[in-house]
Amino acid sequence: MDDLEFRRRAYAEPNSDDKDFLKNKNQSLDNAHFVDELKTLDQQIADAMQVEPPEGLAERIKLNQQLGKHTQKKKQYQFMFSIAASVLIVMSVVFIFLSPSNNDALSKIVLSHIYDELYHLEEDHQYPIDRANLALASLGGRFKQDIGEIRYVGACDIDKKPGLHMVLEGEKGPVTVIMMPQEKIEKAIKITDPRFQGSIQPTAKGSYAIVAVKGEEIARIKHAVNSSLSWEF
Amino acid sequence: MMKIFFLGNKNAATPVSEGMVSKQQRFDALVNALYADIYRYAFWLTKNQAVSEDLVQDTYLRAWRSFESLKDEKAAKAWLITILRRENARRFERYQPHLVDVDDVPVADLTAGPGQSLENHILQQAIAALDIEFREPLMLQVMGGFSAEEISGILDVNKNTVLTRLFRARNKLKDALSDSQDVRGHRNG
Repeated sequence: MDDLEFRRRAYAEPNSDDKDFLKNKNQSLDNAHFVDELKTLDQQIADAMQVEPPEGLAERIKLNQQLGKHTQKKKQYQFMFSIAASVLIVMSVVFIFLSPSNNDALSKIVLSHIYDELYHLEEDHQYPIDRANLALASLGGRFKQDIGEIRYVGACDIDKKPGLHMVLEGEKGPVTVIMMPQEKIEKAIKITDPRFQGSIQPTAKGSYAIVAVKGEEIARIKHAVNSSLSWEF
Repeated sequence: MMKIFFLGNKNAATPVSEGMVSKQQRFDALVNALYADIYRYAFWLTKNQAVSEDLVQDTYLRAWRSFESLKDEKAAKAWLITILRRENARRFERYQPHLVDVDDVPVADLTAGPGQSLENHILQQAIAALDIEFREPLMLQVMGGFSAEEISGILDVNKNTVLTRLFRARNKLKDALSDSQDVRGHRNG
């Protein structure tokens, strides 16, 4: 260990008990004095670092830990309650979206539209399919083939959303078909009413309602619509 | 189902609370023995009393939660310092205070007290002015009594780097002291 290394070592570790270092220290009075000076400096540093902790800190730490223990327990309960609450919310949402009340709402809208415009059931235009396609095009759809005799077709808003109102010729009387591209449903909804019967059918884009007086055979027209309807955009 | 769950918890409470008593006693002993050292470490790390107290509180809370991981109580000081350093780093992740400039100005929480020697005050300011990479090994060595080897482990830097930093830290402090003596010498003359 040369002198420079000794001095560096003394600055880094004045209290080192490394044999080599101690040997160098004891080699000369100068070296011993040098190390002693640094030890004095260390004592001064230690004194300077000796700041007093705030009064009552130990008690506050213990109190905080006691409270923390309680909050931990409280948190466990809160966690369980939040899980329970989440389950409840999910169930409510599922209930709202899949419950009959929502389905009822849409079938009521359809029925009230039919009742409001009962006079369309009396119309007898014998429109070609192109006429229906002209109106349907504005909603982004098309009938690829005939769906039967069309007595009336007209664009109209269903619950403030664009739709298409058609009246077709059934076995016993008029069959109303209402296209509702913005009314998305998961599965078919049955429509029941003292006067009318029918259903709302899901399609690739929203849904359509098919409604006729009780006793009417609507399966044929439903099948015709299903196989003919295509949404282009 | 819920009821059974809660009951199960209650039944299990007896042996657990016995364990809790000794855990609580051990924890209290750890607070009494080391809170002042840990506070001082926090203070020289952050140079702020209020922040230091918060840090010490957070450190002990975390220590309580992972008390099982303290295998050897002789190593408790190093363990607590490691937690404290992690909590301090976390504090900077959460919030970046404008503490960068503080290095250049005298530390507010280090105002000279009555009966304090001038050397002591000058040294405090000089220690506070050291870059953290020089200050921390010195804190660990002088306050903590750790060897260069141990400091290397706590700070995760190699031993030679630790020795170099300790050398430079003392060098700067010695310069600060002799500068102030020069100034006083001139004034007196």
